[in-house]
Amino acid sequence: MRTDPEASDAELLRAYAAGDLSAAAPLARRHAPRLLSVARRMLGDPAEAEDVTQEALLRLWRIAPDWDPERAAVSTWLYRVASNLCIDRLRRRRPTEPLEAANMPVAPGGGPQERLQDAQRRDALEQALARLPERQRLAVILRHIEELPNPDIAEAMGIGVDAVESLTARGRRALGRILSARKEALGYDGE
Amino acid sequence: MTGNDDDGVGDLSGARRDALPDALIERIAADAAFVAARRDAPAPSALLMARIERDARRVARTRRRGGWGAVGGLLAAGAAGVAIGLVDPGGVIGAYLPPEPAVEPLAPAYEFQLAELGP
Repeated sequence: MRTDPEASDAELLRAYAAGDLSAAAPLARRHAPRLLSVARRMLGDPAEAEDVTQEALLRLWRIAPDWDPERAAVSTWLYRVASNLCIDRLRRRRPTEPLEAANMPVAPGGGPQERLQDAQRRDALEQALARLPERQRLAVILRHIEELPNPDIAEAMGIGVDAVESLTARGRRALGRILSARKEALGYDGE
Repeated sequence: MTGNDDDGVGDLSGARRDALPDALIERIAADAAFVAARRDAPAPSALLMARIERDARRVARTRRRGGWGAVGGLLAAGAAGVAIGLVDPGGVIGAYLPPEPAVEPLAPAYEFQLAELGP
């Protein structure tokens, strides 16, 4: 029997664990984009970000039979796994290794000028994010780009809500300082 | 308010005028970058989605095989035990036992000692 693709994460995961393979696709479609986004911004490397996304979901498939929906939301659990995988990879990198500028596709919509400016701002953000300490970077990405509520970020990062607030505030200030140094090039002074 | 106080207020307001644009620019810069980043969220490629779904199939298949494999193993072992019992009852175990009991008779020694003691 096929599970409704609109079912909740927990229902889909239960169905998958019970042998309904069709339940895996909606779960993947729901979570892969967010995981990829976080990983890409954490690592600055598209290929590594894809590996992290795949690995996080692989762990979900493996844990499916033992999944306890009372203990965590699937999305928070996945963010936590992906965050840890990203941090592991960052720590394995040599300290002198530069982060590659991500070549993200430019989203359709808006005029050429607007798209160009968006692309410049996005690249500037990538470079600025790479200069933040890893946990500050993660907190800023989850809060300000993925727009997760602070309690979810706290759960995903395994820290308290106060610590999340502190990390995001410091990270945001640091990013603002880095980006405002390029305000003319990025067109911030005219807004 | 003294002239010195006026100077102090003037200095403070001047400082605020100077500090505010920078702080504001920093906030605007961060906000604009976040908006651009949200708008350009990377989409997973078809290849990545295929890799993820292949993993899901593999994990499910392995789990199914593991479960049925264990049940199959138990059934096969049980059937083999019954078959051996029917075909050769005691034969397999009996082949590994010594042909005679390993305990030596103790009675003659006792008889000798009793004879020495006499009536």
